[in-house]
Amino acid sequence: MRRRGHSTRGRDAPLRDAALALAALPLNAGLTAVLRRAGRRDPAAFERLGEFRSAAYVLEPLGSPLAFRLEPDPRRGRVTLEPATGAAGGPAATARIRGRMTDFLALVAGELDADAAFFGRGLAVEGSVEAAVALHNALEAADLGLADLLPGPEPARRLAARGLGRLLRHRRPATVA
Amino acid sequence: MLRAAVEAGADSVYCGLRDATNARNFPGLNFSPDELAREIEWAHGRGARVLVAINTFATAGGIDPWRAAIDAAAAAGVYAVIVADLGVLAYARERHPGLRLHLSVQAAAGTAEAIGFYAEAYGVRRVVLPRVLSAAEVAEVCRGSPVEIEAFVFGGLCVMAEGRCALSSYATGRSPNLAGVCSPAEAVAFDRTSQALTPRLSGLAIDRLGPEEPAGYPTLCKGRFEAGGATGYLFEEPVSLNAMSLLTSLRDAGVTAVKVEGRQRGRAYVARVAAAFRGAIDALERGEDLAPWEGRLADLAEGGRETAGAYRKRWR
Repeated sequence: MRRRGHSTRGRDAPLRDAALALAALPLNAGLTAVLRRAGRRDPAAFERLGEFRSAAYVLEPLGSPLAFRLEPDPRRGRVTLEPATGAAGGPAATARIRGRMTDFLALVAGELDADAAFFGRGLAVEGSVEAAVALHNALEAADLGLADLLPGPEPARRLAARGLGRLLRHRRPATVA
Repeated sequence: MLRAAVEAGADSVYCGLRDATNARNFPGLNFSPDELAREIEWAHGRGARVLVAINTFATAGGIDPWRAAIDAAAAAGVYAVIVADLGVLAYARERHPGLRLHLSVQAAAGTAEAIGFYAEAYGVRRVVLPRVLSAAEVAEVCRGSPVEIEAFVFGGLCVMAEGRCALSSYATGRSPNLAGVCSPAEAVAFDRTSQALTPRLSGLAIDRLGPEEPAGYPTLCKGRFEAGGATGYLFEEPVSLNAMSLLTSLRDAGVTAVKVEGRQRGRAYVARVAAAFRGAIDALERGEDLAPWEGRLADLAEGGRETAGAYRKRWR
């Protein structure tokens, strides 16, 4: 049985975290560029976040060693990768959202309804539900698609997004405990 | 979500402004006046109408936000405003006599006589019926109504007298009637252990779910509680209205428009539901059987269950 306050992450965890952070630097820049491009395209959608523009959201795909920390200010926002922490909790965040990566992508693609996913136990929210609702509504208003998440010139992004969208339609339901 | 509804075939879409004047006052959901004007222009370019819900009740001494909302909606060029409060109706009628007025479900006008009063006193042009009438009662109302009738056909249900529920304000201090939020998100929390998920509203445990049980938004009316030695839903079970199978009856009764609840839902939901009802209504107008359209939305139902609600009333 784990003692209260005792970490299960091991003594090597800080070194592993540092290595992951270093490796993630180029990805962080790319993901941040994606966020800021979305913010330039539709700043009003991001303004809807109101007080939660300064919030920190962590999206943690199930089974992934990495999670995405999203700080969604439309002009200065950034996305950074950080070590996933699973059920053990992690660095402070306004809201932490867990689910399958394919479901996160399906939400962006408009193939999956967030409420249905949450009520079907495919998504789990920890922390501020109000912040999570604000993020959901802002992202819906931004009307993002998969192409908006990809790097590169727009024609290539749209082509890749179509292929990815077809794959997502074949995913099976999953439950976050 | 407005665009998703129009692109999926909705004839009109209702929305709200970013304050307590509408009954879906959720963070990040609604429009600023500038956004509203842009979306109206976009919708008009596609032949769709935009209605603005200004359907909560003004507070004593604090009606100015509702008047400002009416002014903003009129300035943006909306097709109609959907209103419940008598004082707000009166303001709209006096200040914007050319503005089309619809009566909100929140006004709970369930008889032809009540509808006639609103039509005569305020110039209301359409009334959204409360979700407590049987199909026969809807037909009776339509027969006697001097104005258009709109009826809900899909989405969440409210077990209380519409516009007068006090459960949310009891638990959280904020109500859908005055603040536009039932069970506001800032009061919601989900406690998770390896055995159970406990939705809470202002700290009150609303339910306790096993790992495989579907969750719901923690409104008090849909919670499970112990009473009389048993645990169960005391007010209502989490189900969604789906009156797809009643479209023929509603059309024959004289209903002008059918309404989908759920503008706080995402694009995927809005697009699927709008497309399904667009397809069904078009099939109905072609004289085709609606059976292929029924059952298409079952996975979107709250609690995984659908109901025809009061349209097929078996109580009272």
